[in-house]
Amino acid sequence: MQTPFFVYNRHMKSKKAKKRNTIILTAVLLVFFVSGIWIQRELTQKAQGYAVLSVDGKVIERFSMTENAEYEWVSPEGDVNRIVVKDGYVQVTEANCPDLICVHSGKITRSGEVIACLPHKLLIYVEDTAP
Amino acid sequence: MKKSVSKIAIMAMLSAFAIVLGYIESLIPIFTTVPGMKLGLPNLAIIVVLYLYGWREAAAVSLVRILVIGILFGNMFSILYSLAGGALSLLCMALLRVKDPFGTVGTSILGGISHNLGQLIVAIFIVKNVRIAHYFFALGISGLLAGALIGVLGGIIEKRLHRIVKKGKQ
Repeated sequence: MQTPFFVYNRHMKSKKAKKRNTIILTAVLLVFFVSGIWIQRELTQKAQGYAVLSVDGKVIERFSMTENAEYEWVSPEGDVNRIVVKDGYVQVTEANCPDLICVHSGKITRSGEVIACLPHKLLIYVEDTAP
Repeated sequence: MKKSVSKIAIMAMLSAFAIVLGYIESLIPIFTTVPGMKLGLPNLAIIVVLYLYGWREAAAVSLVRILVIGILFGNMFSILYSLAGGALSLLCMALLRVKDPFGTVGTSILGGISHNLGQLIVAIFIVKNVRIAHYFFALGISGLLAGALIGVLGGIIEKRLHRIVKKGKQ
């Protein structure tokens, strides 16, 4: 009896089977992650809600996405992140963290989207509902 | 006697290889918008050791490279991220290694994804906010692509080194 293609038998020691299994695995994972990203984007429309600034798990400030605001977060340790809320987007324009991932993240507009500054334990996320 | 000497030499060489790869990785500027997204070059050495010897040896090399790279180029937090990612990915890769259904490429892909998952879990505890899990899918894709690349390279290196290891065993 032939072994089903998805079962790799270790006595088979076939490179072909491994290759096929790998291709199937890669395809399944690729579909899973790409559809995950796509669903994440599609399910959330442009938010009219709030941008929330959270540092070390505590909510520091909420900004209405419909209003313009500028806020400079300075922690007792000297961590600085400059946050700009404008025309329905949130952005970190300046920061003194080493990797600057928060600045490179650019503008976020959709609910659920986040900007993270891990060295500062800082997280900005967009929330759809009113507080 | 001869066997253990060659094993020690090759493991030491691969540890040094992993550390150099970690240094090279720290030199490559990546303008990513997702924290924790990287190539994971040191995993190349880990996967070679895992396939040449076994999970114990891979765990030893992995621990050495995490501590050395972390002390040289990182900080306490980067060691913490790497430890969680490294432990989870090693667990997944060691389990896959037993029956080896996917070869080095598939093992490395799942290793890359689980590494990023481990880091994400630590990140949740550090920022104390589950919202950061938003990055799960993006980190998954990045782990998959980087893992595939590392798996292909690791397979080639393992094939070459395998002959030397065999000779040492004689």
